[in-house]
Amino acid sequence: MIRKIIYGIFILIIVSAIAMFLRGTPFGVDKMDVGKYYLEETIPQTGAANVVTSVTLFYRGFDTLGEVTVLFTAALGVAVLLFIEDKKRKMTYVKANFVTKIGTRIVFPFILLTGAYIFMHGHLTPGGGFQGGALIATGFLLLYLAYEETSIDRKKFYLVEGLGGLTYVIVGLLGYFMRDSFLANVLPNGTLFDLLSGGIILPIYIGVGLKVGSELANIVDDLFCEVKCTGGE
Amino acid sequence: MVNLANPTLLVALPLFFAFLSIIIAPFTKKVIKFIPLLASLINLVIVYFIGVEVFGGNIVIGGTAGLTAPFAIVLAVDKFNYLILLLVNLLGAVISFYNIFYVKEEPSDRFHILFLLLIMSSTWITITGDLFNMFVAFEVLSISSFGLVGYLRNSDAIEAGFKYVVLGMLAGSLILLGVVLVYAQTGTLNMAHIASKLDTLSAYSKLIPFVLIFFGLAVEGALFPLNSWLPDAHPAAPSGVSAMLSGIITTTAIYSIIRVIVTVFNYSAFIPYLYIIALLTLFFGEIAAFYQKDIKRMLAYSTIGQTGLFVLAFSVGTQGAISASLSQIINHSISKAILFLTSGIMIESAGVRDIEDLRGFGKQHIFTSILFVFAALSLIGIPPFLGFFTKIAILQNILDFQGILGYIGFAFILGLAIVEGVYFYKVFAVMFSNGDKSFKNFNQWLLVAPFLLVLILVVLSARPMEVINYTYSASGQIIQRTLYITSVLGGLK
Repeated sequence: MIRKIIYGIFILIIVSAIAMFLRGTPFGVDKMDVGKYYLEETIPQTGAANVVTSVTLFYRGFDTLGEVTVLFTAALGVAVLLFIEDKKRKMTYVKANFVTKIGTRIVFPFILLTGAYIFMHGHLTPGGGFQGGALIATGFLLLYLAYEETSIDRKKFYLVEGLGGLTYVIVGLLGYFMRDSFLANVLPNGTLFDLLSGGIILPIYIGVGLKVGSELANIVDDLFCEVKCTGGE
Repeated sequence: MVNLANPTLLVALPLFFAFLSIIIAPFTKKVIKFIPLLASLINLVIVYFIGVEVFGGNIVIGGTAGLTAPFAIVLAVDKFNYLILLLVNLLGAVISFYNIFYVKEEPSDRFHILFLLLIMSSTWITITGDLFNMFVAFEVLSISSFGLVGYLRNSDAIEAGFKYVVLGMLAGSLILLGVVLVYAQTGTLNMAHIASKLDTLSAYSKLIPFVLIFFGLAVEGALFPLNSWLPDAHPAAPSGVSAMLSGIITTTAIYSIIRVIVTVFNYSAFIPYLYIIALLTLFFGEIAAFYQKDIKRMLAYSTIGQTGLFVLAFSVGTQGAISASLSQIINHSISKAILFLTSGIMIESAGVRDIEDLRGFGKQHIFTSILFVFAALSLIGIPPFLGFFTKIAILQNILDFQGILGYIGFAFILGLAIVEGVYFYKVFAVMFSNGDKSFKNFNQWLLVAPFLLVLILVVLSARPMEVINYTYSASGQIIQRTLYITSVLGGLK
């Protein structure tokens, strides 16, 4: 009991210190000169209508490569921890009802389409590779929930996942070889608001979208794999 | 002509191999185990080219996105982090070679990819010149080590992995919050740019972001009292991973702490507290190691103690003391990696981890035991090994710390070196006593990795002055933070 009180006081001190600190901290005022530079230079430099995307994928593209790797690593970690040697293990299913089955059948293609739309328009509209990819993965989650016989072909999904990641690295390396700077913009900027604009953002986001989608679908498969995991063989 | 001395390649190429191997893994599983070795050898070539520049006195900058410093992320290598960079990739290559023969449990392909990511991320956190980028690298580092710690999936590994996940993720969020607060203060994320702006701010506005980032990194850096995950995690992992975690991952986190304290925040007021934290880390690590019965657990506690030792030396703050601390980092990384690799062989051969069960091992497998003894002697600081010179250098410099604390530190280091000697002596005594237990044979290729590291250790022990001279000029570069700031920012101010 005394312990809990001490912990509580401790947490209170930390939280109030941070809160007081935040009160005295100005957000979004003129000292953000890096942010101002991005706002002014995005369109001439990257040709992307969405400034946020140009920051995440162009100016701070190296960080996003890291975030892509975080997800990749997490998927690998899940695959390691849920790896099942005993393939005979049985699990009882809860059968999905009729509405779920038919609904899934109708909704699934639209989910894929919306996901693809979101990651292809990352440089024009809010959204991008991660969001689109996550949406695609929810489609596969729905398939697993509705049809117990669902099993994705892991080889193909790994192929897509790897190719998506490779796209990012290779586009980056192209910048390195052509302009001596990793992830430098090597593609033409195009006309503003066109689908084919924004330089390297579009190919990278397509890669990221496919990668995230297949990766999360793989995680879903791993979580369902209590019954039918093939361990990637 | 493409310039190979570019730090971004050190991240990009291993990632290329990692994504490539997830594609080829389902088809030819056997190739995957060579990929971490291949990638870290390629990295070593690039590290060599960077080294040529660094030894010329330059700070090597790798830009991204075709832009200059504060607007895009840059990676920067000076003499100080070059040393850590070299150690990471050297140990990474050697331990990957060991893993080829050591890892038998499935899914081994995932293991090797995760190990590659571990090497890549610790390289990344070492060379980055951007605060948020450091956080991203930290995330990759922690997540890949979670998977590797839990890899064996027995109850030990799962428990250790879970503790590690909870603390590691908490640490990550603390760092993120700290970085956000720094950004709110300065409007930039580049370390050098932050440094040039924070100087004008009050001490109070530095305090909270600094404390958050420091405690976040201190979890991974195993500083007291945030190191409770380490004695579980390091022994539970496969031995190659323990060698990597103990030998170098802890050190990279300590490096980040040093970079944040010295270059970014220039926070000299914190140094006395760091000294006390390091003193406690040293004390509890070594005392706990003394009572261990499990050999890998003993080595893990010894890692905590050693971490305390070199942080203690660093926090004295003079150029000589930082140089001694860096030399001790070299000594500790190499010897601890050897100790974990050889103890992995012992465990494989004996089937158990208790020290008592190794009775008679030294008589049956003399070569393995000698490698173990060499590394242990260097870690304790027995002449003529490198550890002797580095510990002497630390003792010479520790008294520069003002007041009574300097003398306490001196006494602690000497006293705890004896404790260290005693617990390693207990292991030697058990190993070389007569025992009737017969030990299994093991794959002789496993010995190559620790043998190579012992060779490096012997070469370094033969010329300690060169090590200390190098670390002396390296610590000169970390103290002169204006040099780093102006080189990274170029003409901009």
